[in-house]
Amino acid sequence: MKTTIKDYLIPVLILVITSLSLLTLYSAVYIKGPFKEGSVFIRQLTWILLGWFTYFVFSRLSYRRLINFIYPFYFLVIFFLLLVLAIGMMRLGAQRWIKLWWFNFQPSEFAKLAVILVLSHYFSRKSLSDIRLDVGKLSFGKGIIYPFLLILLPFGLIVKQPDLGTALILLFVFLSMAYFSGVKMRYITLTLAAGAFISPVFWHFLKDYQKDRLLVFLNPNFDPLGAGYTIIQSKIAIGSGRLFGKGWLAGTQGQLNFLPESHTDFIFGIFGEETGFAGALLLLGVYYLLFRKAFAISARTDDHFGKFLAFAIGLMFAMQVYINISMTQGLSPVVGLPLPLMSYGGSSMLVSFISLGILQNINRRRTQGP
Amino acid sequence: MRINKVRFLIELLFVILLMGVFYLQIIRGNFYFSLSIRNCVRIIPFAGVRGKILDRNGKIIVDNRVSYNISILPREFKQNVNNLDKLAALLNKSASGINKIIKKDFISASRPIIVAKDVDKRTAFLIEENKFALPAVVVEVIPKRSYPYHNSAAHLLGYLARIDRWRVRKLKDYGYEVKDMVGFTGIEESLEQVLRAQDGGIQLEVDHRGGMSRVLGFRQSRHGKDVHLTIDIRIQKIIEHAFAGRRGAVVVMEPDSGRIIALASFPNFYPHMFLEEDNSGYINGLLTDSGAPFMNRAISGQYPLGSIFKVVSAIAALEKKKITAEKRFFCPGRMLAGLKEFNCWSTHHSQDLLEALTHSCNVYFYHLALLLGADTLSEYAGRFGLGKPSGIDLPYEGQGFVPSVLARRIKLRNWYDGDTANFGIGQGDLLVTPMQAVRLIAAIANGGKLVVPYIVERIDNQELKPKPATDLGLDAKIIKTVIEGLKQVVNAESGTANIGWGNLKVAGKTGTAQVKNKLSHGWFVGFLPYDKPKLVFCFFLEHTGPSIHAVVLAHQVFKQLQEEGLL
Repeated sequence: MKTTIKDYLIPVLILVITSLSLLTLYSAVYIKGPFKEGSVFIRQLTWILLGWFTYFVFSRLSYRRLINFIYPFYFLVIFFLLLVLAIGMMRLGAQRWIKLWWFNFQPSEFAKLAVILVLSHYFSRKSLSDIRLDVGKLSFGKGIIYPFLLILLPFGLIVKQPDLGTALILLFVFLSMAYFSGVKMRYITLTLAAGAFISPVFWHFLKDYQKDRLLVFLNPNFDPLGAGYTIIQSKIAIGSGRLFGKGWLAGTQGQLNFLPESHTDFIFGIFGEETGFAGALLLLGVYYLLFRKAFAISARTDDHFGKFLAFAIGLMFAMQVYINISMTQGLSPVVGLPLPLMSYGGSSMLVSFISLGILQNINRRRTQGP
Repeated sequence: MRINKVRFLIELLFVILLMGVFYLQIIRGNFYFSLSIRNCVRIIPFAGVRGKILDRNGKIIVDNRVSYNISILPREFKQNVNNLDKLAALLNKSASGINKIIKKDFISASRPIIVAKDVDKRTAFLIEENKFALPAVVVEVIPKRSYPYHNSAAHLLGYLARIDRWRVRKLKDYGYEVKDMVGFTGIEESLEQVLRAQDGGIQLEVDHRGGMSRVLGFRQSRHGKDVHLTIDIRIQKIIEHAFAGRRGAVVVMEPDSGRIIALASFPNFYPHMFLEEDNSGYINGLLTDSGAPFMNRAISGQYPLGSIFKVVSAIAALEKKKITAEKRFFCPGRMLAGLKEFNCWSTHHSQDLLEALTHSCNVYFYHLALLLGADTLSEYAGRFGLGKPSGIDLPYEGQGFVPSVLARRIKLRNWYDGDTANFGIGQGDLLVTPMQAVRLIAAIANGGKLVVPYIVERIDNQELKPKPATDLGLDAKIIKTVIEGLKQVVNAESGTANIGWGNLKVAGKTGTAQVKNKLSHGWFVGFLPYDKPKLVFCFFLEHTGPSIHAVVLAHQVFKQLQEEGLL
C-alpha cells in the first residue's frame, strides 16, 4: 500500500546541525562583527533559508520524476566543470569555482549529486530483472567498467581541478554502490588492487602543493608554516575544548585567528574548542542518526532507484563527515572538503539540502512493508 | 544483506572519529588546553630570494637587493601600551598610522606584521639596538626587487606588486596569502611559479615571556629559479632611446629560431614604483594616462596593418597562379571596385609586381585582391599567422582579426567587392599585433617557416624546448621574387623606404595604415642582411603619420647598432 508517511526525523536533524553551524559561525566572526554587511554569518543564514526552500521543493516533488532530468543535469554539471577548467587554465592555474552573480559557484559539489543520481539510475535499471538485489549477477564489465565509464568524465574533471577529497569520495561511493548492487566481492577487490597499483602513477600528476599536503599528513613537521600549521592549530583547538568546551564565543584558537579556514573546512576546530567532547558527541550523534536514517530508508524501499539513491545519499554524507572531521583531527590528509551542513559555503549547503530533500521524499513515498 | 556490511563499515569510521575526539579532548585535553591559553606558537620567517631575470649575455635585468623591514609580533606588542609610541618615535611615523597598518595586515596572532618596509640601514640598526626595550619588534632582512635598467623592457618583464583579491582566491591553494607579492604581467606573471621563492621559517613554542621553549617545526626557505631571456638588453636600450617619447612598439627577432632579441612598447613605466609605499600618485598617473602605458603594444596592441599586407596578397596571387611576376597593371591613381572609387596614393602608370611592391601601389593590389577573392585572402592571412596569437611565452597576447565573408555574414552585414579590394592592401577590418607582423615577415626571411616566437631561453640551467615551426610549403621561387621586391623597397631609387641605408643590407616593406579622423599608423617591417637574414624587425609608430617616420626610426637604430658592433 502506498501512503504518505509523516516522519519528521530528517528535518529535525537538519535543523539541529544548521543551528549549530550558525552558532559556530557567529562565534567565528564574532570579533569582526557577525551582522556586518557581507559577513559570513549573514551569508550562511541566507544559504540555510534558501536551503530549506529547496528541501521542501525536493521533498514534495516525487523523486521518480527526477529520472527524466538526470542526464540533462549531468551534462550541465559537466559543462560547468569544463568551464571551471577552461577559466582556470587561462591564467594562474587551477580553481574550483566560477563567479556567478554574487557567489562563487562550485560545480564539483553539484557533481557529487549528479554522479549519485546517474549511478543510482544505472544500477537500478541493471537489476530490474532481478527479484532480489543480492544475487551477484552483474559481470565485471556491467558492474564495474560500464558504470565507471559513465562517471569517468566528471570524475576526471574533478581530479584535474584538483579536488582530491571529492574524487576519493566519489570513488568510494561508486564501489560501495557496485557492491550493494550485488557485484561480486572479488571484482571489487580487484578494482581496489588495480587502484593501489596505479596510484604511484597519479603521484606524478599531483601538484606540488598536493604532494606537500600528503607528506604533511605523514609528518606535520614537513610544512610547519602551511598545511602542517593548520593541522597543529586545529588539534590544539579541538583538544583544548576538553570535556565541556570553553563555552560559546569563548574559544581562543578560532577567535584569535590562530586557526585558518576556521569557518569553512576547519569549522569542527572551533566547534570542538567551544563545546568540548560533549558537543562533539552531540554533533557526531546527529550525523550518525542521519546516516542511519538514510540506510534504514534504503533498506525499506522496494523501488530500486529509491533504494540506491537513499543508500548513496547516506554514504556520501557519512563519508564527507568522516573525511572532514578526521582531517581536522590530523587523522587524514588535508584535502579541502566541507563538513556538510556545518561549513560555510553556498554550493555545499544547497547540495546537502537537495540530497536530504530527495531522501525525505523517498522516505515519504516508499511502499510500506508489512 | 550487503547494506548491513556497508553500514557496519561506516559505523566503524564513526567510532574512529569518536575515539579521535576522545583522545584529543579527554586524554590529551589538558595538554592542548595549556598550549591554547598560552597562545604560545610563534612563527619566525626566513625569506627566500625570488629568481633573477637575465638577458642573453648574462646581464642581470631584474635583481634583488637587501632591504630591512620592521615587523611586530601582534600579541606581545599589544601587551604593553607604550610599545606603540616607542616604535613610532624610532620609525618617525605617527602612532595611529602604525595602528592602522597593524589592523589591516593582521593574519593571526602568531604571525609578525610588517609595519615599515624598506627602512634605511640606520633605522634598522637603531631598532636592533633597542631590542630589549622593544622585545615585540623584529627587524627582518628581506630581499627586494631592483631594476638596474629602470624602464627598460618593463612590459616584457612585468612588475611585482602586492597580490590582489582575485589572485589571492585563485592562488590560495598554492600557498599564497593576502600580503604576498606576486608578478603582474610579463615574465613576472607567466613564470611566477618558477621565479617565486618559498619562504621558510621556524615554528616555535614560546613561554609566557616570549622565550623559546621548543621548536615545533622548521622549513628551509627555497630560492626562486633564475630566468634567462633571449633579449639583448643593449639592443633593447638603443631602441628605447631612439623612440624618444613617441607611442608604438618594436620587435626584433631571429628569423629562423623565433628568439626575440628586443621587444619594446611605448610609453612604458618603472616597475620599481610598484614596490614603493607611497606610489598611488605614480600608479594613478599611469592608469589615467591616455597613452595606456601598461599595455604591451608589441603583443597586445591590435592595429590595421596597411600595405605590409601586400606581401601576403602578392604571395597568394603568385601561388594561385593568378598572375606572374611580369604581369603589368596600369595605375591611373584611382580605381573603381564595385560601385566605389578607391584611390592610390600616387599615379604610378604601368607597373609589374616588383615595381608595385617597391612603390606600394594600391591599384595593382586592388586588381590582385579582386582576382583572388576575399576567401583566398582570408585563408592566406590565416596561414601567415594573422588572426591568432603567435604563441609567444608572454601573457595577455592579442589575437588580432582577419576579416572574412563569413564573419561579416554573422554580423548580418554584406561583403562588397570594395571590401575585397581594401583587404588586399591591408585596410578595412584587418587587425594585427606587431608580434604577428614580425612573424609574418620572418616566414618570408627564413624561406617559408612560421616560427613560434619565444623569449625565455632557459630556467636556471634547464634549456626550454622551443615549439616547432610550421612549414608553410611555399615555393622557393615565389619567396625569392617577393624578397627581391622587398629589397627594392629599401634600395631602389624610388623605393618607399629608401633613405640612404649605406652598407646596411636591409629588405623590408612599409605600411601606412589609415585611421579615421586621426593620424595614420606607420609600419616598417623587414629583415637584414637580405642575402642571409639574421634579424627580422617590426617598427610600429602609433598615430604619427606616414610610414617614413618608422623607416627613419629603424634607420637610426640599425646605424647605431652597426656602430656599436651589435649587428
